[in-house]
Parts: sequence; C-alpha cells; structure tokens
Amino acid sequence: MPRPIRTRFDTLSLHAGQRPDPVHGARAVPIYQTTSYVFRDSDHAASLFNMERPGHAYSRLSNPTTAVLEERIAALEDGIGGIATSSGQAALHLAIATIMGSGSHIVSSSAIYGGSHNLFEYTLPRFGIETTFVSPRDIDGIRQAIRPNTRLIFGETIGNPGNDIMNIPVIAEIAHEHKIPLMIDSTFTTPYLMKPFEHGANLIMHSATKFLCGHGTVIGGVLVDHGRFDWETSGKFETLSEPYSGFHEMTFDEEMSQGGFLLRARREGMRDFGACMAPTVAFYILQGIETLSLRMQRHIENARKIVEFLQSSDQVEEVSYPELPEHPDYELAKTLLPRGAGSIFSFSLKGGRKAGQAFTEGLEVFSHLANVGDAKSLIIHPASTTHHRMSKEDLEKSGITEGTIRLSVGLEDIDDLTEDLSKGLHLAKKVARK
Amino acid sequence: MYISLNDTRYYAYTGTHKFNPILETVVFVHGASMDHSVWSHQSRYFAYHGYNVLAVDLPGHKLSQGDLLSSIEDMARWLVNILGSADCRSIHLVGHSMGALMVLEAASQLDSEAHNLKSLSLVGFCYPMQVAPALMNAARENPSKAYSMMTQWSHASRTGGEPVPGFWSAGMQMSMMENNDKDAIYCNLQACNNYTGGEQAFGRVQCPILFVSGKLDKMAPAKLAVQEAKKNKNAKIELIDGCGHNLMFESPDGVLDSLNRFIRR
Repeated sequence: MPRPIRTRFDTLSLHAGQRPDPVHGARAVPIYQTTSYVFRDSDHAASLFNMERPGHAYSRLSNPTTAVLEERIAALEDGIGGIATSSGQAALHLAIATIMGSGSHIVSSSAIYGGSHNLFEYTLPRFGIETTFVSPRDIDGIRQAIRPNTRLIFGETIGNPGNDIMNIPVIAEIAHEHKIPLMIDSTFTTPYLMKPFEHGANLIMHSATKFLCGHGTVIGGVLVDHGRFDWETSGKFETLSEPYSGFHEMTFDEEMSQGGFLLRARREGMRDFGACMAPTVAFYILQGIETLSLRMQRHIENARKIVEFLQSSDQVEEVSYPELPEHPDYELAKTLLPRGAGSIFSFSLKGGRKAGQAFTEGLEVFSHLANVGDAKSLIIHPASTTHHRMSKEDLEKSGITEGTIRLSVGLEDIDDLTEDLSKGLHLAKKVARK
Repeated sequence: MYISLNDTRYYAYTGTHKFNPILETVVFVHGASMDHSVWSHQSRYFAYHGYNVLAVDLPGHKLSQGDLLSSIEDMARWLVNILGSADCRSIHLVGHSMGALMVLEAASQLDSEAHNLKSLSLVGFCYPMQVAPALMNAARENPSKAYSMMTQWSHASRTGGEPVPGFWSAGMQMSMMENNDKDAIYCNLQACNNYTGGEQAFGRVQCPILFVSGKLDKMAPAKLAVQEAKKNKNAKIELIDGCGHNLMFESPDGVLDSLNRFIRR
C-alpha cells in the first residue's frame, strides 16, 4: 500500500507531529502544562470554539503536547488523526459513545482484555448497548452474530490469554459487507509489529500505557481513525451523518469528510465525558515512542529465546506462542505479524496452582504484577491472583489452567532472565513433587 | 445543501446556514481529487461572518452525483450553472490548484448582468498548470501511487506538525483522494494539463484578484504565481511562510487571514 509520506517509521517515531519550538528552539517536545490559552480577542475566541480556526482553547479538548502525540501515532499507523485519552479503556469508550447509543449492538472477540470484556458484558447493557462475544477464530460465528442493529465489530490483534490472532483481513471484509466498521485494539503489537489499517481495520485503539510508553510510568490511551469508512453511505451512523443540536446543527461527516468521526469524538466525547490525557503523560508516551522500534525488536528477540528455553524444560506442559508451529494461528501470524508475534505469552506449568504460585513468587528479575508491555519483564499467575476465586473447571472455561503463567518479556539481559526462570522452575518442581 | 441541475444532485457545504440571497456569497472550489472539506476552516469562518458560503463538491466527487468533467472549461460552465441555480448574485470566487484554474475560467464566463463578481482568489495557483509526466502516468496506471506522490509533494514538512490539533495532514490528504472515484485523479490532472485558456480568461476578468501561495509549494511554485500577479494590475499576492501546496491545512489561519483581508477590503 503506498504511504502518504515517504518518511520512514523510525524517523516518524522521533519527529512526526512536531517542529522545533518556534519561540525558544527547544528540540524536545515542550510540556504545555496549562489548562487554557489566551485569546487574541473575542472574535478569535468565538472562532476557536466554533472551529473556524484551528488551535487550542481548553486542554480537555486539545493541548499542544498531547496534539504531538496524537499526530505521531496517527502517522505511525497511517491514519488521519487521533485522540489521546486518559487510558486505553477511555479510548474504547470514546469510540463506542461516538458512533452508537441505546439499542445498538456490538460483535466482539471473546479473547479480549478483562476490562474491555466487563465494559461490554456488564456496563454497556445498562446504557442499552448489547454485545455478542464470539471466538476470533470462529469466522462464521462472527458473521452470524451480526444483527441489523450491529454497529461495530471489535477485537484485539493478539487475544488474551491464548494469543489468538485476529484474522483482520477476513473479519474486515465481513464488517464492510454489513456496512459497519472494524475496530482493533492494537496494544500488544503496536504499529511496529502490525498496522491494522493495512489489513482493512477502520479504527484502532491503544492502551498507550503498555509498549507505546514502554516504561510502566503512566496510564494513557489513543484512538486512531483511518478515515476510509463511509459513515454517510452506511446509513447506520446518525451521530455522524445527521445534524447535531449539541454543536450548532453540525453534520460531522459533511463538516470534515474524512475526519467526521474524530471531530465528533473530540467535540462531543472529550467535551462531555472529559477523559482527556494530561500533557505530562503525553510527554512520557512520546519519549517512549522515540525508541519504539528498538524496544520492540529486543522484546521480540528476548521473547523468542524464552519461548525456546521454556520449551526445553520438563516442568513446562505447553507454551502458547503464535510463532510455534503447533499454535492454531501459526500460519496467520506469519502473514500478519512477520516482524514477530509480540512478547506477551502464556505457558502452563506442571504441578497446578501451588507450583504456579511458587514459581511466580520465586522470581527476582521478573516483577509480579498486573501489567504488560513494560521495559521490565513481568509475570502473573492468574489462578493465584486475578482469577483466584475460580475453580479449576471455571478456569478451563476461560482458556487457562491452574498452572498457566503469563509473561510479558522485557529488555533485560537474556541470560539473567533465563537464570531467573530456571530458579522458578526449580522451586515449582519441588512443590510439584510434594 | 444539495443543488439540483438536470435531475442531478450536487453538494455544497454552507456552514449549516440557509442560503440568504441578500448576502454576498463566497464560493470555494477544491482541487484535483479532493472535496469541499479542504476549505473546512475558511468556509466555516465566512459562513459565520456575514456571508453565504458554497463550498462545492465537483461532479463525481465525494457527495456530488454526476460524471467527472474532463476539462477546466466544462467544470467552469458547471460552476456558472450552479451559481445561477443557487441564485447567487454578488459573488467572491475562491479556488485551490485545479479549482483555481476553474474559478478563473468561470470568472471569465460569468454573465455580468446576472452576477456581480466581487473578487477572485487563486490559492496554490500557477499557469500553465503542467503536470509532471511521472505523476500523469501514475494517475493513469496506479492512482494510489499518484495519491502518494501528490501528498508527498503537497506538504512542506515531511513529518507534519501542522496546526490542526490531532490530525495528520498527509494521512488526511491521502484518505480524501482514496475516498474519491479512482478515475478522478487522472481526469482532473489531465484537465489541468490541457487547459490553455488562462491568458484569455485573465484578460476578461475585471474584478480584483488575489493570489495566495505557500512559499515552499512544489506543485505550483510560488514564483509562478508572483509572475502572474505582476502581469495583472488588479492583482495582489500574499505568500505564506513554511507551507507548501496543501496550505489550507498547513496554514489555515494564514489562508483565512489573506482571504478575509481581501474579501472585506
């Protein structure tokens, strides 16, 4: 697919969206730590609020530091623009609230982050939005789940916990046959490993907390639009194709023919829900993106070595990583993720719940916590933490076992990581023998 | 709003205002394979500052029906008919790139008894508007490649940093062209390449003319607009720092301020 600008990924990671500060010459992106901006006069103020002139009026709507992040991630994803939000969950909510309301329906992959699952399963029904969950590998099931009131298909590039790869090209085609968009959570892969727009997705969200920031320091999200979905012709998206009383009868899709979705998301969603990103948070995420490709290469390199290491252990029952031939999505991963299938994966330990607990608690370099995508290696044992109330049978229904361990492989020296894991395996073996 | 001509519906953005025949009308015309929303800031401003606005989608582009038009003269005739149908009397014509050729030609065709042409603004203009053979070939053989070339050449910065918060201008331009009929790009560029009526049209236009160019424009170099402006005693030129051919997005305020000073003079 021809690109809009010949500037390459690594250069865009460092420069997109920013020109050196024209006042002081600062090379780094300045942190504009301000809530508001002085108007030249009343007409200027009115013009800003009425979108007759571009610019910043109030930092809940936009901020110069945050705008650099929005433009940079849009450039890296080959989108038209983006909106930075207070978290990945805020980005997901913003997208949904922008294109649908009560009486709508979503078809979602069942292999998604627990927070997203909760939003769909328990929270949105209170607001009249229902969701049908389908395995991302069940293409016919996805097709059959679509109803006349379906307004979105949603999934993750790499699902949780089985590392299911979303067949974006095929599912995008199904979505477009039904004149609805496909939205992809691309948190686990980042634009370095996959660009979902190239495969037909229409909207992308990131939890920028993870690899984009990359250092486990801030919470943030980004919503990106490809600008190719025809909201007008679809006839299903009144919020974009009909006049909106809340903004001078603006019809967003006519006002900005490519950017109508982002326009409404900002002018309504950021104004009314207000889940904006703080400029300092945007700065940290921009710092992270500057080294995104270098970090992702190392994440992948380390992950592959650890997969190989774990496979060689007699304490490990199974490693679930899409680059392994026995993984159900092995072929799809080769097509969609040629640079690597991420650095977050699961494996099953022999010895059940207690062995898993001993293994996790015995590690020193891996940090035991509930996050992924950090420069530091992370580990969690769901059966003794996030899923500790669930029986063995209920765990299996969720696709995990009592011995399932999830790793997010970081950037440490690989020998220190494997030594650490060796120690954990030794402890797990001792527990398993009892 | 939609304007019907010969049972075909054409779209014109009005800033969500109803057309008021008492007011002067500012007419905005987009360039090759683009649409009305290239003028989103400038057209909205005029719509909220005492003018009617018609920012049209050319036939076969975005929200307008109809077949693509293959010559600047045909496009100009279409525009004159639209202005007649919409009952526009006092008119300011504003065009960008191919749209600038088109409003120049339309200005020369307008019947002065039916329409009072108050001003003509040519943004990102040069004449003749010869298209590089490589771009013409790409437009014919591989439109996506042509979109990429045009996007690349239309921006002064290769890494963005434009003033519209949250938007990546290169991505916007690419998307806009891809969302149009894939035949539009070749048809439009060929119309630019083949247009030879510029000198005659300038000779017939009596109203004040404004040229607005980006100083770093690679598609329609500013020096050519300067040369053209010097030939015409009714013309003035404004050059905008730091931007190229996509200047309505690269410097929305710069373009708006130039147009505003000129139209309100």
